[in-house]
Amino acid sequence: LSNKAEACMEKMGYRVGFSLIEKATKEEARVKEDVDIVKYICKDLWNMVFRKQADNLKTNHTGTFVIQDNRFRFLTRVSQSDQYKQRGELYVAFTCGVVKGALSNFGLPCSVAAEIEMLPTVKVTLTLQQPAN
Amino acid sequence: MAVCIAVLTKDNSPLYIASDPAEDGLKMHFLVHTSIDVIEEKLNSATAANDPRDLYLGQLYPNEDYRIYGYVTNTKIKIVVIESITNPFKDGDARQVFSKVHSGYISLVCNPFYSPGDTITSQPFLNTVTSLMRGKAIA
Repeated sequence: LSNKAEACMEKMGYRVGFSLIEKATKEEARVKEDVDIVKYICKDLWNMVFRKQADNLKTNHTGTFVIQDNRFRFLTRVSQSDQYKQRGELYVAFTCGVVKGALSNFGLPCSVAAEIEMLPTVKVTLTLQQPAN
Repeated sequence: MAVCIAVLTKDNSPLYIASDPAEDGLKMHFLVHTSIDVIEEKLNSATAANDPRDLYLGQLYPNEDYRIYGYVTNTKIKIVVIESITNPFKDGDARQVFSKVHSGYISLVCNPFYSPGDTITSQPFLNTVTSLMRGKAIA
């Protein structure tokens, strides 16, 4: 049951991310490299949605990126104990959808997964479906 | 005046092509089709020298009766505007036309009833485009 809810949230987030990027990139200069696109997601998209930038971005240079947010907005009010990690996944599902939609509008289809190791730190892993150039 | 406005997706499939009824529709389609190649060339060959910061591509290639302008958004949507030489508009004007078409497209995408990739049948978008084509005739 929770899988269906997550899938639904992700679908909604996808559409939102898609439209957000369409609107936001109208005034921006042309974004070229894949890395620049992911950086744009970390800075501008995160700013638009959460009013802060993502805290950390790591890559292994083969098309996988990890965006880390140390104070994920939707989880700051949840008490920091392990029993809520499972429930926290639902809160991140929408954001995963937003990132997925944003990237696919840029022309980079990818798969997005999120892990919560310790509330409220969230790591979003993006795997681009083609090798990054 | 703008005789034809076309919107294409990143795979170059047409979302919307409309031309002034006085013009030969087929010829307009053909011109838009040939301009796709020019746009791709401009995008791929874009070195640092080649206005990297601009979405507007300017005049694509010369033709005896028409001027063809291109514009590519960050989301790889291509917009092509063809205007007749008899009634041209200045460079600044062309950017305005693209800006308006782009804004119309953005409003369309934000519409939850529109699926990205479908042909455009939305009334507000069609109104924007027809007013742009007609507006230029009066200006």
